[in-house]
Amino acid sequence: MTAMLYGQVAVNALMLGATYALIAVGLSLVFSIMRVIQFAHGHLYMLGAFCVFYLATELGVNYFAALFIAALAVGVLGMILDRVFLRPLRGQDLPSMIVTLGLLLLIEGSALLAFGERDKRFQSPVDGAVWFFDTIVIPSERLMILGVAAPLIALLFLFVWRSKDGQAMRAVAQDREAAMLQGINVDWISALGMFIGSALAAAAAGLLLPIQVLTPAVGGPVVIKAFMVVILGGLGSIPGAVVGSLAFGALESFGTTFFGGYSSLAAFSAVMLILIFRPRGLLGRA
Amino acid sequence: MLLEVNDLWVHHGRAPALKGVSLAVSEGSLVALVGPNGAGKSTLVRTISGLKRASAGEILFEGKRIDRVPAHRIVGLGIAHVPEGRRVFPDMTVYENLRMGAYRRLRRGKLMLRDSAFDDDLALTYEHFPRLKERARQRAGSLSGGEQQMLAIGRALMARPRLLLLDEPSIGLAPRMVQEIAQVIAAITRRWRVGILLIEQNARMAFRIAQHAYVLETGQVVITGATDALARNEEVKRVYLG
Repeated sequence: MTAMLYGQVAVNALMLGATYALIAVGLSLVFSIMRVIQFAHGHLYMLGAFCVFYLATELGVNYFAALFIAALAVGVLGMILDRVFLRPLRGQDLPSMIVTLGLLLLIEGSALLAFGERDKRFQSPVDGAVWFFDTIVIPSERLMILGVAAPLIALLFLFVWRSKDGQAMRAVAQDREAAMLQGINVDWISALGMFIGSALAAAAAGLLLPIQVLTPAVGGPVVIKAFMVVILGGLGSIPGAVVGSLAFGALESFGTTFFGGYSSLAAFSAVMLILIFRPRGLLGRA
Repeated sequence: MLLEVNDLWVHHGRAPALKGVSLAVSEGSLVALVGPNGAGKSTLVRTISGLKRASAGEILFEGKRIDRVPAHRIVGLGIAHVPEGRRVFPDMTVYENLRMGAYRRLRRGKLMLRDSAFDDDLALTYEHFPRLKERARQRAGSLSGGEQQMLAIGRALMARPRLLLLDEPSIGLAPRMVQEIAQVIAAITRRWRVGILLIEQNARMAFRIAQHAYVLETGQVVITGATDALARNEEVKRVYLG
């Protein structure tokens, strides 16, 4: 009985952690390149969720295809937002952040007008459950979420550490001006970072759609959690964002089981406690 | 002429930082630019490499105007800039830093390229800086100041420049390390046949290795000439070599 409980809580923690990682990694990537907290990140997540929802329910698009299209569309939107709103303010971090706060309000308001405030529920594309060792039973959709999110994160790591543009991103994150002197087009790298970050947020939103209620208001809590996770892992560190996400997913998952409705309180308290002893985050550099 | 700067004006906000500076560097020569803090030396090289915009005047590289070219295209033309304060990528390894120097020549798909031209450049760079080879896998941020300076110069060489802009390479280094850097700079001009514009507060060091020098004060060239002649100039001796 307890083995089953812990097993389920652990899988749940992994699943939550992996989706938080998808969201947080984007936020961290954009921050590391532009030194801007992209406050509208959660709202791009929300748009991604609506995109998948309407593609799948209204247009009958296959769920996984819808996921892909939504990621692409929101990624391109992120690039456009960067080009129109952030690029003219490049290098001015504070005004850029205020602009992203404005975008947050703009997107939430538009979504409210376009999609209405009523809760939407989404039929899970997979059903049933999978048994492990005859004791642990995991709902299939949670395995599906984990099965898509984990490879996406692995792909991102491969991209950042093994591709030319990924190396350029690391360089820009460490020294923007020195990166320009090596021939790196910082505008292009910023746009690419916004594309990847936004697309991953949309993918995460689409993945969580079957187990969440969708309204235009979901963006706010998402960006707060992602921000929390990014700080926990170390601001601007991509491995940090993943580690922070897994830690936060575990805190929340175990918190829900043992503290019920107070899980967020428990998780956030734990994060604050960790940050008191390690203010630069788990993997952050001083 | 490799580099020609004609009557260049640059402003920081409304305050002029350069007031009609003219200067030239010929192929394979080592030209020093000395002067006190705040004279506009860094502003000049930052304008050449596109980090700062000129408000008037022109910059020509191999006869073509480059004062409107964005910073990330400058290195592709053949100008590498070693910025003040070294500015290596601290969380990358020494090898990764050198690879960033060749960034523009890396192929998109496979970064882990082993193309022979890259390997040749790397071998040559290591020849000048054997210590970088020993520390290839070490984080650049963990190197000493002198080693970081070597890395910054090595990274610039990896771009295969025809003009190298060195901004205060000796600053903050121990005297012995200053000697070493000076020797390497002299060796680089000979070996790579690259023109060097060397900015230095340490005029003594700069005059020893450069053939020609400009003295910049409050945004204007006040004296220019061959270094051996300048070294005998009473005024220069008193202010810069005293």
